[in-house]
Amino acid sequence: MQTPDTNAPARAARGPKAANSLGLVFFPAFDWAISPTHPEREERLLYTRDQLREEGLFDVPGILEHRTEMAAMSDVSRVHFCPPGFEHVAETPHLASAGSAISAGRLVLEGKCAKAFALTRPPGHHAMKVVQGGRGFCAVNIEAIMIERLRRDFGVGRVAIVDTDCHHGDGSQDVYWHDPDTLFISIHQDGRTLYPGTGFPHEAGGPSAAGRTVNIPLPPRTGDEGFLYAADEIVRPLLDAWKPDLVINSAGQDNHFSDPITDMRLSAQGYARMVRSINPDIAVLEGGYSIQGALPYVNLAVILALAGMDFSRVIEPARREDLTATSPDCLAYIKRLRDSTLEHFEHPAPSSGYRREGGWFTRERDVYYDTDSIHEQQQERLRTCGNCPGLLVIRSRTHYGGWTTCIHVPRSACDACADAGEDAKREAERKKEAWEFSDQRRDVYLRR
Amino acid sequence: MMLAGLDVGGTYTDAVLLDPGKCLRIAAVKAPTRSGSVLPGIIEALEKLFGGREADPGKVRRLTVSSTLGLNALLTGNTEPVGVLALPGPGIDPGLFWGPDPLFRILPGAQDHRGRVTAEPDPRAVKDALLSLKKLGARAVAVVCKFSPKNPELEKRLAEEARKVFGPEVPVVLGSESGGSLNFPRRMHTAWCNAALHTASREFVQALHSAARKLGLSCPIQVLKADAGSFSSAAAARDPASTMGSGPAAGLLGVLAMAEWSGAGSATRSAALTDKIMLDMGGTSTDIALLAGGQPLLSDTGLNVNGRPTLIRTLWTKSIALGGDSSLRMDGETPRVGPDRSGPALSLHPEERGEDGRFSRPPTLTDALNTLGYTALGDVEISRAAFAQMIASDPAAARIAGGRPEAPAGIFLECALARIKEETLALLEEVGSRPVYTIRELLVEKKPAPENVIFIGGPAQSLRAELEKTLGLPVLAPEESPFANALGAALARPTKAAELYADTLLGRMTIPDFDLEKRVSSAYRLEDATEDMAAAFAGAFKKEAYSGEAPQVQTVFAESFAVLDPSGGRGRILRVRSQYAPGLDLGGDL
Repeated sequence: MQTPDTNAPARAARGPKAANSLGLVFFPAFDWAISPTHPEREERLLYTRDQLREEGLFDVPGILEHRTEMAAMSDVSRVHFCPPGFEHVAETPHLASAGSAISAGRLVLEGKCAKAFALTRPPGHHAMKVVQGGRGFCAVNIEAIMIERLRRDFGVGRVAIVDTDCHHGDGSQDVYWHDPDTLFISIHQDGRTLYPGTGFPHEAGGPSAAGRTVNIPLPPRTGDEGFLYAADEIVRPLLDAWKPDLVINSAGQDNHFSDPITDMRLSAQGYARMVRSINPDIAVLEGGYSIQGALPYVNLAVILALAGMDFSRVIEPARREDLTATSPDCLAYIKRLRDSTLEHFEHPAPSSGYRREGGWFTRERDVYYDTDSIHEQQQERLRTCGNCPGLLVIRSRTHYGGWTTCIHVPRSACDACADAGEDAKREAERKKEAWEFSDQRRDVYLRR
Repeated sequence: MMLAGLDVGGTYTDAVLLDPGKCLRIAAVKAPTRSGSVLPGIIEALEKLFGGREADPGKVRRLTVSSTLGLNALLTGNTEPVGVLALPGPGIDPGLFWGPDPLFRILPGAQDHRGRVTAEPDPRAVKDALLSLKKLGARAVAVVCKFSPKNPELEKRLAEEARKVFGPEVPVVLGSESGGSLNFPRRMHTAWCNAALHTASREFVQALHSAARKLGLSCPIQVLKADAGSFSSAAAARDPASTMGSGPAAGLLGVLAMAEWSGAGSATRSAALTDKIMLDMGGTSTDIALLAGGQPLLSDTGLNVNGRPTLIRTLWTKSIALGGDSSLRMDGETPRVGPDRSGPALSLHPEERGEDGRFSRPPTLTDALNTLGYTALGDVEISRAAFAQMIASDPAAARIAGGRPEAPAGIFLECALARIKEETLALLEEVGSRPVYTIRELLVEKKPAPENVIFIGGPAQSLRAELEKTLGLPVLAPEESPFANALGAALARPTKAAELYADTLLGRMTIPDFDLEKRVSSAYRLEDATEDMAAAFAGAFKKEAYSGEAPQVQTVFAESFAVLDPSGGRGRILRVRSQYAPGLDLGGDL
């Protein structure tokens, strides 16, 4: 049985090498769909898998595929409040998808690879802080679950999320709305023309985190040139100025010119160059529903860009110059957007939409859960505090349920805010209302 | 009923004749392997084997040959120059997977991930490439198109052009014939190997048949593969790449057979179906292989042949630089075993000792075993003296000795055993942490759970109990045979692996490993696919001229996806992977 070197480790002895070692956590959930004809169905990453295998990608030294892990319910409750109970909202596939993101994050933080990409489904960036049901094909926020786990296990501080999905990442924006340590940047098709209808420049963060949310809505039919301009001239300067410890890319592949549910004109080449410009440490797949014409090529190009490899030959068969062009008007619009965005980042305006009531910022709003047709009413209060981001209390109810008080003591909360959190819990007890309590300082999550 | 096995090694060509039903070795012979050609050694060994009285060639049911022919030809460059036409389409630059090679051509023309032709080849460019390859001296051609297992159409069209330019004598190999798995670079290299070895292997198989006929052997002749199974000599002539790396497979089967035979009986027969670890400690390395449910565990990718990654199915093994010749030295306060090789044990080379009684190199693991009394290889006193010198010259060694001269040897041995344990666990972890793509697999997939260890190699007998303590598993050290590889070849089962791809929207089903294609309707389902697969296996089994009952076709993998085309069409995409599994043919019924 003594082996000659012909039987040595079955890795390519010749061939390309990854300049950046890249860990891939590929979890296509081939046995799960929202419904048989839903865009989020079993088939979605089938062609991507076949393309990656046929390319011999996993033989490239420096590119390693890793098995996904399951996120625990405690990972979910670290991020979300879920009045109906997580078991009714987050099923196994969501835990597996969040687990893929966690696996990818750990690979980088444990130093096993320079970068990582979780090619996983279902997506998560429409899931907000309070989860009453499914929104925009998402149930739980897989990036936020990863980030909070990495903060707990590795002490990660400043994190930037660059959301390049064609849809505004309203869930991630909401989860980090009050967090000054998380910079959320979203590039997306203008909310006046696409779900979820938000993501305008004036949405810039809560009272304690003004300017930490940056929305870059691009006009419909923005092509490669427009996206690259936004990446190079808006996102890059923001990241360079803010200097995050970790950059996460919520990588939605639905800006592609062939995507059936959006109206943008990005190509695989454009995607790869955009990713190279943003230079994320960790990428997590979000949307993208041109599963045959776009995903196999876009995902491959993005992987090669992350690995620092040549992607110039990844050209989708349907690509034509006129399908990926950005009009001069569109480009001019994006240039004006750059000036105002950089200006607002440097000099953020006070957060709008809040009232001040007796030591609290307050606002009311409604959230609609399109997957489950649920209407939610929220009363939000943020404790006015000069020493920390402030205690956050959200009362939430849906058209078929009673009020739940959700109490969030942030990571960097001061003692006064933590005490106020206990008061809020007692208040809910006294009113015999359901409550959920999340103390990020102590990593404690309780509910009643 | 008898089986014959033949193994071509570097020094000797071994042949055995045995009765598997009775666990009986009837004859075993050795003949020297000649440099230059493997045939004279094979013929001499067969002549010796059937020279005896008990050996009646008429009663032999099967002869299986494990040969280094293909590998030797590649290593010595004794192959046909191969012109390669690659049609990659969009993706990674295929030139990156290839070294500098004037006979490698990238051409336009492409198929997508469903096998649809998305760009037509340029006939002018194809013709020009072929003419220039011919001019440059190509004597074989490989045509490889991305996604050809799903649709060999473009490869077949280009192959026809190649035959027109090169004539019928020159072999033209298709990528889709060289392995049905999706991995374009590996398929290119596998097709290249098959093209390069085509002529040599065809001649070898012909010579083998005529030699067998002369000896009165009329049984089927099988050739051993790297996956620890065999295939017909006719198949070997078409697909010589698969015969490379059969040596380790023969060895593993041989040891397994020895372990079975030494404890024959019903208890071991059922034990044969458990998960096992196989450890082989040689001079420079220790090799670890795994058996899952009695079957040798195969790698997910394929054999690496002389730097070429291929699709050739092969054992999943791990080789660690630790063996009897590993050097033992102190690294500061830490005792280290290897990874470098000090040379043969000092005890075997008393002449190396200087006039002052000193040694110029560190002792080896074998010297440690001598010192501890596990072995007595060469002059044991020399081994002891080497450790005494280490203690005298190195205060750290003196500290771990603590006044007992044999203590350091014991600590080095502990280090070696701990390393074996660590690497074995790492291999099990690697196997158990393969990525999975479904929630079902994520929840239920079981990891290998070895129940015992088969330990072979020089010090296996004496270290058995120590290894048992370290690993916490029963360790068997079966009696070894100098004919283990030939024995393994004789007992190898026929194996075959094949992929089926079906796309009902395109109305196409292909089984590239059997060169099968057919039209399918929208009603085609997984049951139909597994049925087609079983029929393809049965047909091939018959064609290969085996007698007896066909082995069970094992479905390794099956998936069926509902597909919604952007144009609104509905259908299914199916993939099935099936095999005749490798393992020992102990029953005697083929």
